[in-house]
Amino acid sequence: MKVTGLRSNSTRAFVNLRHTDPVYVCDLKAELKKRSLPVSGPKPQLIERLKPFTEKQLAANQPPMLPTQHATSAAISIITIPSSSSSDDSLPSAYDFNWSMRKLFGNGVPSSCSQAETSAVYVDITANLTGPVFEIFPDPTQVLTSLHGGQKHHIAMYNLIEITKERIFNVYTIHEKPRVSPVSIQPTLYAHRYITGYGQERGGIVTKIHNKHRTPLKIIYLENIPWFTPLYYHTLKITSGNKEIIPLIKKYIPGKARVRPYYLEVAFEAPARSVTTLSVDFTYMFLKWQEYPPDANHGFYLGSAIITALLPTARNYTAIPQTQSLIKNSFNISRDGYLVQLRTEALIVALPTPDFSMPYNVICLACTVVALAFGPLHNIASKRLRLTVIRHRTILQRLKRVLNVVTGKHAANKSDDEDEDKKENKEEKGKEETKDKAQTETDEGSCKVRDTKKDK
Amino acid sequence: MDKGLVVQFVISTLLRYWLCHSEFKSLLQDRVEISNPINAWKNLVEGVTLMKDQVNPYDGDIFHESPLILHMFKFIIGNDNPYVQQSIPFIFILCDLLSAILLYYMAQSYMIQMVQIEKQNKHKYAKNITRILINIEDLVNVPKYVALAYLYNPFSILNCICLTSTVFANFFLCLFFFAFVTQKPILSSIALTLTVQQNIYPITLLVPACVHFHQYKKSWRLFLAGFLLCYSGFLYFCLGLMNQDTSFLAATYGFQLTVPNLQPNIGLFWYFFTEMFEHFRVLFIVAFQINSIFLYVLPLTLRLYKEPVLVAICLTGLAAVFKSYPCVGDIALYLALMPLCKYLFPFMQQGFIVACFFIGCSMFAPTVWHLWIYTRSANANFYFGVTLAFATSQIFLLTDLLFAYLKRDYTLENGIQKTIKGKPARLVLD
Repeated sequence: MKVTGLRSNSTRAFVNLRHTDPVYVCDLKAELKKRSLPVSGPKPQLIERLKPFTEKQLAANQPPMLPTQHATSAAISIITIPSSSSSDDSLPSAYDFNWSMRKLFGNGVPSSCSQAETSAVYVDITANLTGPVFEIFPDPTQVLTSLHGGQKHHIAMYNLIEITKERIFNVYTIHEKPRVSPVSIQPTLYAHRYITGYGQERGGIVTKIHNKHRTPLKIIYLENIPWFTPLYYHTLKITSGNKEIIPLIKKYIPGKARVRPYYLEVAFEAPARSVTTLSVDFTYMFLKWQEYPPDANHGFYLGSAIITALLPTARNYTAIPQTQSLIKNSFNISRDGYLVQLRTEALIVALPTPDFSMPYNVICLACTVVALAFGPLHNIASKRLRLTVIRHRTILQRLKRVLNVVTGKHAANKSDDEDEDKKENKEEKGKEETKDKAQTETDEGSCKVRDTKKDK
Repeated sequence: MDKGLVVQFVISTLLRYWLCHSEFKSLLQDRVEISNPINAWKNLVEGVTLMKDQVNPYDGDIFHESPLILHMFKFIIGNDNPYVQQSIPFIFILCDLLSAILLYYMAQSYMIQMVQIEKQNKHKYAKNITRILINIEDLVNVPKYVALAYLYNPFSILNCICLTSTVFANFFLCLFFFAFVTQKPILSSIALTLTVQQNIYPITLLVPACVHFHQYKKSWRLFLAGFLLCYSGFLYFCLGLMNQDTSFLAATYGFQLTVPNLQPNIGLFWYFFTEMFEHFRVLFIVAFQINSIFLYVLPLTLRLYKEPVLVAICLTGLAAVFKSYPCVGDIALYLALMPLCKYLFPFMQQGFIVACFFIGCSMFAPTVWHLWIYTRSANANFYFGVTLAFATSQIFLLTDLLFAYLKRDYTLENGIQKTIKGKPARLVLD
């Protein structure tokens, strides 16, 4: 069944209610209490007890509503899809198909818009002829017949301007017997989109467009891919079965990092009763560390692609003509095509992340490597080769030199060392003695090594 | 060229041909060590496709090759003829072979020059140094080694089979080295223009080339003027190719200099500028680029003015280490030039360490990459560590080469004996 409410031409919300239990036991009990009826028993019985009371009485007991609610500002089209999971043929499944405006929105409509010339609620009751029979309450102001795109619709119209003068408007249906869900008829055109490839290096976006119609459909596919997943335009491939489809028109604006996204628009003809696969490759970009959001590994969203087509049939199609704004304008007009825009699933890609705790380390390490080149090259360019005697230092002596450097005795010791170097050539014999001495004494302990240094 | 070498050329061609048509190609083509945003074959195809569809390829983020390469491949990739499509790998293989041939003749000419110089200066040398003079056999061997080092270096094979545009950059650079060593100022200027149109770093080779021409009484002014003329002519030509659109400058040179793409590669830039604080970015980009382009040109040229070819080799190597988007192809080229300095090998100390590092890094890099990107059990630091080690080993190799030159130079003057009054002594920089 289909409820078509008032709508504005700017926004439209689709609410899919799957298996919403429309009547709550606590509500029923409260109603029964008010009428001093017994509150015990299973839910169907409670409802049976309440049935004699008219809709008017029920509505009158509703809490007061805000008068400022303007029905014209609500733009809602609701399709309830009953769950087929209610398998056991016990009574409750019958009530799955009963609905009322109050149950769906929590409220009826207390008033119509004071500014609006017309204010009406339309309920598509075509299913009453083909599917299980239901009753609709209250009686509609008028039952309209709409014939468009080869489809005949019966529509119950409620004139809110008249009705809300007397009472709060609520509309509800009661099904006489459990309803058997028919196999859902697939729409003429629908699409799925997903990401291929694994790893965080290269991937592809694949969109599968299903054309269920008996004629080929011209389709415009529009993709706006963010700059952090650069597209490879040459990998764009449109296939249907094993056949490659040559696009009619291609429009491509390559993206630029941090400036603009990749814009891809392709028009092509999807063959009759076919699945067309549209695929394009992309790479994962490596961002600067400050460009990642706090939950960096959550992933980045790629917005949905938009598929535009003119459907030749109006099956399952409810929309206001683009040039008009009222629902009643959509009755009884057949057009050449019925414009439909599908938005595919949004995708999520997990871009490779750097280590966020590393900036100082990385800067230090990379600069060290540069310094590793700079140091020797500077030495090579600015110093001369010279022969020096190879001095053998013991491990302890080396350690001591390092310690001295650390503790700040560097300058003094360095001059000592330089003196040593100069003396070396002159006092080779003397040095050899001290060296031997040092070597013998290192075995005895570090304190004495210090003494030998002083001796020197 | 003797028969043996011709056989080697044939074998290496077959090896490349086989790898080009094996499944390894698709496995290797996307590797970040081989293909970077500038030289990747996929990006080249993208650029050509965009141009065919009337979109400016330099407008986007993907294509960064020079207009010359773009228009060259417009006829090859854009052509639907299956024969043309099949011939694409042959173009790359042929280019690699030509590079090896040029390197061979360059090395021949260089060795003859070196022997002549040593003959002239023999009276200045110390006694007992005949051992370290250039062996007469090297006149034949070194050119072979150079050609083989290019033909069989795994890095150059990988570079070739993955169809990177670095193959052309290397070819142009080999042409330049050939013209430069054989003292052909005009050919050098043309070759340098062709090299510089692809990437900006070899512009440093102007300086050693001028010194070299000056030493051999050729007109360095002719070379310099030729280069300026050629290069401005090339720019004018590119403007014509791109219909007066200057966006290619920003997309090629601008891209190399400002490093906007942080995809990992074997260089030092990617992680450094990923982790960089935003307000220091410009400072460090300028510092790093100065380091990789200008910093070492003058000091090395002044110090090694007797050996401009060695300076050119070192500058090529340093550019391969420090450029913003290096790849294994760049390394293959300067490694192939290394055998030219065979006379320095006895004075080099780090050979073993460097070889170990090269092998280790070549094996570790794909491993940690897989761990990071695919299994997600490692992170970026692992790959960064490997690239750091690789850069360090290359730096060791280059500085070791220069040290070896200084030591040999010293030894030629002062003799092999390294003693002071009978005590063992060693050479230190002071």
